[in-house]
Amino acid sequence: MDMSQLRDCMSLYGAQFSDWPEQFRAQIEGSDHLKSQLQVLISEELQFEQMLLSRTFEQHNPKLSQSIIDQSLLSHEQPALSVANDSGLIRGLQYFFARPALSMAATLVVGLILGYSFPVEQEFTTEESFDDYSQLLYDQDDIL
Amino acid sequence: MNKQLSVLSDEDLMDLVQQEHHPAFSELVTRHTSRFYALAYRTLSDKVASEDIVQEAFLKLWRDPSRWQVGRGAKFTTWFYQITLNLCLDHNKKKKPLPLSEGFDVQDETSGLETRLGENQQQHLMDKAISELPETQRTALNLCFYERVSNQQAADIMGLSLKALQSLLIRAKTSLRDRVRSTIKRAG
Repeated sequence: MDMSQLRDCMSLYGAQFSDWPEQFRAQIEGSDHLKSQLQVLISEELQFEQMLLSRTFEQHNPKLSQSIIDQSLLSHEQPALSVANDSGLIRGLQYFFARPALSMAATLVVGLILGYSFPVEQEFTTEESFDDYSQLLYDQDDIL
Repeated sequence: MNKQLSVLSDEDLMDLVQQEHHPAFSELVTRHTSRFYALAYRTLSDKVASEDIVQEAFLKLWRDPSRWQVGRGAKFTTWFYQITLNLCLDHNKKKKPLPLSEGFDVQDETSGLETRLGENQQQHLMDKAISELPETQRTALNLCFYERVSNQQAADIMGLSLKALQSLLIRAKTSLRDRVRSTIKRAG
């Protein structure tokens, strides 16, 4: 094993020599030269690992596990939409509206149905518009 | 019952989860949330997104536990690391394009360092240097160094051969060492 291989092993298995695979440890322990080189590399690697550990890390919310467990209970209680069963209907609706994409699509469909079912009956023609405007000017004692 | 569950292996718990045993699922969540969150956070550097990903991964597992194939000899953690990692990579793809090159610019922008690196500078340097590693190298580093996963398990998680994984890990650490050295030299 040469210095380059020793460095590669350091990258792969870290500064804790006891964590290295047995075959490499045996090779190094059998050579005084490698052992002395290893000591230098280990002290360098420990410094480097210390720097790696300085990387930013934010802990998760302590309630994350419980939140996942609670969500899973909700998700398993999602029945098919059942009109016959009142509580099933309510839970079905809760499930439905808990999902933004589904609830947006539902709102859009309801909007379209209402829009087409009750169209605006008042039609606004150019003539009417002109009449209104003339009336307005007349009322204000302006022209005409 | 929960006391008994705590002594079961992850794989035994998964057998119960496949029978819709919710306490077994809860045990898995309690046991492993921090572990999978850590990988997600180190992949995304975003606390909220990482929490969402871990939640999504566990809920997918609960809704469809049949995705876990019994008897393949795989470890639960290897399989679930894969799921978490895939969700993180999908999230990253939506957020930004993948780096085009495997190359790593060793030039440092933290000029103005006149003395040895302070703690904040060190943290800033490492955050920046690691974020600029190609995604595969960063994942190898996250799994092997930060998550203390064995090289073979990391290779399984990433779907690579052991040699390919080791090559990524060596390149990641060499790039980072070069980067640190060049910065310390400037600070010198």
